Amino acid sequence: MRIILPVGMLAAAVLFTLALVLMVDTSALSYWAAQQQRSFQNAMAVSLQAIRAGDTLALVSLCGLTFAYGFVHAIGPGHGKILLGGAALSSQSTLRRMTALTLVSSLAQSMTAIIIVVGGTTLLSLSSADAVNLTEQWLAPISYAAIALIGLYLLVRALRQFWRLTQASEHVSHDAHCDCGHSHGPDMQQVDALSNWREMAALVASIAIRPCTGALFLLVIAWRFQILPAGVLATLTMGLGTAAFNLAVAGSGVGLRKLLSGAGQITKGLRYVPATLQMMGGLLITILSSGMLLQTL
Amino acid sequence: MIRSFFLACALSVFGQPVFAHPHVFVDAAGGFVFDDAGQLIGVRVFWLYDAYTTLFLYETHDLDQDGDGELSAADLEKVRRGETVWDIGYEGDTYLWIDGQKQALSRPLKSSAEVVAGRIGVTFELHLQAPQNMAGRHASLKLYDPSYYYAYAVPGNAQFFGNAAGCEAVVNRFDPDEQQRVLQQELSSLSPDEVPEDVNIGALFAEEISLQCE
Repeated sequence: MRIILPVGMLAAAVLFTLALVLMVDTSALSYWAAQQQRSFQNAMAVSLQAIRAGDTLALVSLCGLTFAYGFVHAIGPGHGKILLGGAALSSQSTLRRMTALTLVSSLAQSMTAIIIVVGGTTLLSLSSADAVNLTEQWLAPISYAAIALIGLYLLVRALRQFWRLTQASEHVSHDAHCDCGHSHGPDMQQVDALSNWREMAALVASIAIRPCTGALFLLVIAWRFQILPAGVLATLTMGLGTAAFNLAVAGSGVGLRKLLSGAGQITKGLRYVPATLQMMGGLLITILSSGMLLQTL
Repeated sequence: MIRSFFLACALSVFGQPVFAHPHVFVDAAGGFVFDDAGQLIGVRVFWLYDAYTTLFLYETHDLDQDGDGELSAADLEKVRRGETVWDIGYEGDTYLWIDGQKQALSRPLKSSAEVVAGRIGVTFELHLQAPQNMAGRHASLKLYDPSYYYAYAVPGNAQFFGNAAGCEAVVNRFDPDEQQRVLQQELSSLSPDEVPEDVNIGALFAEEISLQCE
């Protein structure tokens, strides 16, 4: 009986996550997002030419367009929404912490684009085509692999937590008033995977290492038009647009976790809920990002 | 049974277009080229890049050095060479089947570059190894990038060049719901021995130009 509950929850969580991955049909959404991106992209070209021609107000419309582009573009693969959503589910992070992580990772991703284009072409004399190839062929797979590793890390943590909990619950039932100094219940600190700066830095870095190719295009064009500062500003607003979409995903992750934790309170399984959620998040991140990794290899 | 279940899972996870990511949008046109005797000799393809990619091509091909925004004949020649001289193994995202048989096509012939309303376009022909008598046969032309980095759309009608008497062509446009239904059907009918060689995202969104001759 004691073992049935955790094993049952574990199995249900795995099945639920797999169903989530398999059932959600994203092709119509991806197609829609691509169509939006196409019109924003064409409008961005018009704004860039207007800025070059001396129309400073066009900078406002360019930044508005790159924000919108960043938002719809984040619906597509990459940009960390899977990691952020999974991490929100997995850790005990507050909405405030997830918001900060989302903003920092998107802006760091913009900074990577700026560093690659400005630094890469001046210091390493990369051509603009090299910069895009570097991103698509090297940085994208590296980022997917790093994200998959974080997913695995969460998964292992969750399984260890499960093991500890089943041990602890057996112990408690033998002697309910045991006072032997080791932990029995699910200590939130143990489940909270994103509480130290090293883990948070790893999360941000795994997203930021791969810049958006759309941002590289923007910077290369702006540089050629001798309006690089405008390109840098518009790249940062593109990052904010990406953050806006990712925030919706991370926020949903936090909400879902709260909801499921709430449901767990009315059952006996409460102590297993945080570890179960961590496992679902870890599994989701691992499956989807290794899928993307395989696709790029 | 278990194996085909896992295979189906793997396919639907890794074949999901959510992993694909277009950055270059191309308005394409595709046409069938016939000789005077009415035999199919190849296809003619037109790619019109989006305005954003056009500006990026200014940098990659180092165009418009005088900065007036206009492309000279020399610039267009750089574009033509850059876009139609392909690496070995690149099939130009142009795939032709006749009666279900995939055809080997030549490298680009009769290529040219132009500017249409501020966007760069290139035209080229790819020829069959031998002219084909199409009487009573069907051909299918698909323009897509397997990795979906380039997103091709075919906004216009199918085109004919030369003596195409007795042939008709239609463009079958991408329909998300229809495509998904087909994919699901393929997955459910999959047996363990029928592992597809390539689960291809670009092909999922591809628009087909279908030719039928009497």
